[in-house]
Formats: sequence, C-alpha cells, structure tokens
Amino acid sequence: MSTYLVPTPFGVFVHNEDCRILYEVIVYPDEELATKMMMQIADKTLPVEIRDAIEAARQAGVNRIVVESSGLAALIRDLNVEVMVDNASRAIKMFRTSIDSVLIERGVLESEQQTTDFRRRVALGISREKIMRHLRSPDLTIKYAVETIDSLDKTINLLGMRLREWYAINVPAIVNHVEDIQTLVETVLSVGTGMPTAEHLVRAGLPPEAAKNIVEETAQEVGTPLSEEGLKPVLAIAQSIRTMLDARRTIEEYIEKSMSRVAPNMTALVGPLVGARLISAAGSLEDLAKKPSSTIQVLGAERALFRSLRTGAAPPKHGVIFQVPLVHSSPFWQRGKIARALAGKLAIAAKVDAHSGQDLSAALRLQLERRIEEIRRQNPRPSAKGQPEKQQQRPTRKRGSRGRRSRSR
Amino acid sequence: MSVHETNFPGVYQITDGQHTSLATRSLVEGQSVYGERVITVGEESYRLWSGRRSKLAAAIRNGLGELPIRPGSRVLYLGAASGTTVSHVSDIVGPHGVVSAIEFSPTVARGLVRLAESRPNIIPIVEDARHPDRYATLVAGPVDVVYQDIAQPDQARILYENIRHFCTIGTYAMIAIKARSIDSTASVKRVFDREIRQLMDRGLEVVERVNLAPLERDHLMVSLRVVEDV
Ligand SMILES: C[S@@+](CC[C@H](N)C(=O)[O-])C[C@H]1O[C@@H](n2cnc3c(N)ncnc32)[C@H](O)[C@@H]1O
Repeated sequence: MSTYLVPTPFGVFVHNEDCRILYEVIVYPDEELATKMMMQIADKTLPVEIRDAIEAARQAGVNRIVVESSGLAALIRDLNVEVMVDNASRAIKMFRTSIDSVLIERGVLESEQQTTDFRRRVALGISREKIMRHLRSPDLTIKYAVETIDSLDKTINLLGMRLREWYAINVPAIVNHVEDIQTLVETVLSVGTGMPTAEHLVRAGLPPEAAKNIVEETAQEVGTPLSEEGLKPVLAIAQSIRTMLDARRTIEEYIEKSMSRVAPNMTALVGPLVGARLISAAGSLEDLAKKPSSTIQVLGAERALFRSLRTGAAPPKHGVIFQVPLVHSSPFWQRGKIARALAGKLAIAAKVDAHSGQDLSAALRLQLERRIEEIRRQNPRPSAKGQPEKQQQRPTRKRGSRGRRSRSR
Repeated sequence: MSVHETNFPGVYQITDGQHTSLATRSLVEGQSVYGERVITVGEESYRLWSGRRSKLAAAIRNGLGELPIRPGSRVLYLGAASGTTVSHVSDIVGPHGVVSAIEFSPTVARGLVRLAESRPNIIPIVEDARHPDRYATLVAGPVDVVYQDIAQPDQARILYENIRHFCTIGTYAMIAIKARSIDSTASVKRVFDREIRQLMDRGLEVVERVNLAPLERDHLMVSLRVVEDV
C-alpha cells in the first residue's frame, strides 16, 4: 500500500491509496502562512510544514512516499524516506479533486465559497509575488535596454542619413568624408553657417592628420552656403541625434554595469552588449541557461533558421554571436567551428551565471582560447569543399558603412 | 435597445437599432475591464463582448452549437493573458462557478491579477501550462471545462496533460487552434486535422468545430469531450 504526500493551500496531507488522510499539517485559515508555504515550494525550498508531515509519517513506520511532481520530490530527498514521483497518480488526482468537500464535511471549512475564496487569496498572493520579482529582475531591464539600443541605432542611422543629405548642400565633400555620425554631428553643431576648418574637425573628434587631409582634399568642392534661417532645421536634427547618442551611451553603461553583476561569466566571453542580446533573445538568463549550445549558437538568427527549415537552405552557423569580433573577423572556413566552440563555452557560462553566480571567467576564457588556437592550427586554409558562406546574419547595426561604427566589444 | 438571453445561459444579445452584439451580465456592477462598453438596463449591467476581441465570442457568433461553460461551471483556462476573455467567462459561470486562469508571462498577468482582485471567482495562476503538476493544488477541482488559447506548437499535448491532471470522463475541452503557430508551411486544414487527431487518439471525441473567419484568420475553435478514462 502506497503513501502519498500532497501540499495544498489548506495544508499538507499524507494519505493512502483510498484517499484516507493519515497525517496532516493544517495551515488554514492563515492566508499568509499558506502563501509563504506554496511560494517556498515554487522556490525549491523545503517548508517546515512538509518536513513535519513527513516526520510524523516516518515515525509511524512509513518509509516510502509518492508525490506528483519532481520538484517536490527533490525537496524531500534528504528526509530519510524513499521518494517516488508519479506524475499520473490516480490516488493523488482523486485526493486533490475531493479535498475541498472532505474539509467541508469535517467542518474545517464552512462552505464551497469559503474554500474558493481562500484558494483565490493564496493564488493572488503568489501571483503578485511572482510578478513583482519579475519586474524587479535585472534580466528584464537588460532586455529592455538592449531593445532600446537597437531602436536608437535604427533611428540614429535614419536621421544621420537625413542630416548628411541636408548638410551636404552646404559642404558636400566633408559630409562624404566624415564617416562617423557622431563626428559629423559635432562638426555641424560647431561650424554653423560657415565652412568647416581643420580645427572644427579636430574639435569634433577627428585626429589632426585626418582633419587636415579632409580639408585639403575638399577645398575645391564648393557647396551653396545655407542661410541662417536655412540652417535651423539642420541644427535641430544634429541636436536630436546628439541627444540620442548620449542616451545610447547611458544605456550602454547601464548594460555594462548590470551585466557584470548578473552575468560576469558570459560578459567575460562575449562582452556586455552581445551577452545582453543573448539574454534578450532567450527571454531571460534563466531561459538562456536551459538552452543547449547548438541553440545558443544560432540564437537571434531565428528567421534564417526557419527559412532553412522551410526551403532546405543551409542552416545558419551563427546568430547574435556573429557580432563577437572573434567570430566575424575570423576567416570564413574557421568561423563555423569557432562559433560552435564559443557557443559551447557560453552554454556553461550562462548556467554558472544563472545558478551559482561563481566567477569562472578566467578559466572559461583560457579554455576557449586554447580551443581556438587548435581550430586555427588544424584549419590553416579553406578545405576543398569549403565555400565562402553567404552571410546569414548581419549584425543589426552594420547597415550602411556610413552609419555609426559598431562599438560592441 | 433590447436585451435577451441567448440559447446559452449567461450569454446575452443586445440589439440597438440594426446593431446586435453579444454581452455577458457583469458580475461586478458597472465595471469595464478592457475598455468594452457597459450597458445598464434596470438593475443589471451588461458588458459587450466582441468577436474581434475574444475568440470565444467569435465562435458563438459563428454558430457554436453548444457552450459547455455555464453558470456554476468550474473552468480551467489556459493562456489567460490579461483576462479579456476570462472576464466574460467569469461573468457566465457567475458566483457559483470558478475560473482557474493560467498565464505564464508575468508582464501580461498583471492585468489578470488586477481582474482577479475585483472578482471572487477567478483564481489567477502565473505558471507554465506545460507543467500542471506545479499548480495542481491551486486549481479548484474537479474541473468541468478546460478552455485553451495559448498559440503554442505543442498545444494539443499541453491540453492533454492538463486533462490528465484534472479531468474525468465527461469533461469538456475547448481549444482555439491557430494554424500558423503550429506549422507555417503545412496547409491550414492539414494542421487542424493533425492537432485534432492527436487528441482523438488520447480518448477525446470531437463535439464540433467552428471556423473563426473572418473575425480571426486561420483559427478554429474545437470543442471536445473526454470519452475514455484519462
Ligand atoms: C492568444 S493569447 C490569449 C488571449 C486570451 N485567451 C483572451 O482571449 O483574452 C495567448 C496567451 O497564452 C500565453 N501562453 C502561451 N504559452 C503558454 C504556456 N505554456 N503556459 C501559459 N500561458 C501561455 C501567452 O503568454 C499569451 O498571453
């Protein structure tokens, strides 16, 4: 004859095959206690009520207990009873569906209404707690931060194009020679209506040599100077781009800080921004930690992955991790292998970050470097069948070489 | 303006000139949950229930023959989101019924929790419907109807797992199947058939199927009943 353990919002019950209650620890009507107990179970910590119920059963000679969920089984593994998980136990199902009326019959509870009401209040307490934790979790804000950076980059590039176009009326050549959008913005803002000099460019962030060259090379090409009135909208665009660049920096710093706290091991491998993108693509650090390295390797390339499933095209070799210089600056015939090695280490790093919080970054980096040396040694040149792969996933920010240069490390 | 109860207890039809709309009698007087119109007639307030906002309303509009969710029903609702449809189910089952509402996204569930704070018959549960063993004892059992709207590729399996945990012969299940969330290449009809077959192989019998077009594209509402021991 088997013995079963069922924790409910009303208390913890130990019953037999016929659903007869052998031992119980009632928590009703203490709503707070019930909520705490159910929350502990969800958090994988052992509530004292379960310990007590099992202790009572054990002293009466019970040495084997059946539970419905593996999470619960893990909790009571160390309590000197044999634990079995039966995910489809009829006895437990019957007990669960009849406990309300049993408790009403015994007079523990007054009515069905009261039963539902207590259940609901406990469920509300648990839900509120879960929602609050989620909103407070750093994963969520990291995800929002990364998504905001992507939106900012799109907007900055778009407005950058507008700014180039418009300001080019004034000084066509300089606009074409100054690649970095931030430098352009600063130039526009410091020059105003006149012609930019080398000093302007240096102040805007260019090295003196480059500034001099640009001014010399562009001396011949003359634009039509904008009037003060005509310059106003151009300055307004430049201003808003500057504000967005500032915001981007603030957010990037935020990501760096949060990532080194939340996921130091991942950060050591791929840098804060790519690490944050991986978390964001998986949904949360917890979710990322559950993924096999093969999934991590292509995370963020879902569209390419589905396309390959649909059309039979080659599956993508890398997703977000393509943005890591180690991957994208390696020759194409090594790239897939390096991506795989990196994803393998990332899978470990994510698990460590999510569960133990230990800092194994030095060891992980070292192992990765060794493995990469090995790959480089074994694959010095393309193999015969190796074809330069089509780039499946461009880093989102690489569009248009005149855009802001990627800053990910 | 006139109000009359449809063939389904708890579901009303409101006619205003040439406009007709479904509605449920609000459990909480005068409350508008998600911006729907509330109409007060005498002592009672009715909340309009549009097929564009709720697949269950779309199914009723499109000729659903039998509605297993009735006053007094115990419903397990999988994929509650912020509680749009849940609120109408809560109206229908009324003070003697109960809706255990499962939603795994904490962000979305905020609306659901707010709703449950004002309604005594909703039990909000923030959990993954794939793991009924994690919330088994929070659900008010025994369950009469499982309603599922989760748009997941393995939704048939998820439904069955829940049925196995909470139901017996005679329980009803309603499942909103979205063809594209399961398989983006197979033809819509084949996807529907495959999902339904999986459930039939596990002891469920199809009661009816209602296409939700044009209110919801590529969506089917299937109503089933448990006919074998689960
Ligand atoms: C189409 S919406 C439901 C809309 C809702 N039924 C209504 O009409 O008001 C699907 C919801 O299911 C939730 N969901 C998806 N998979 C789930 C799972 N495994 N467990 C619980 N909820 C899930 C999603 O978060 C989403 O909120």
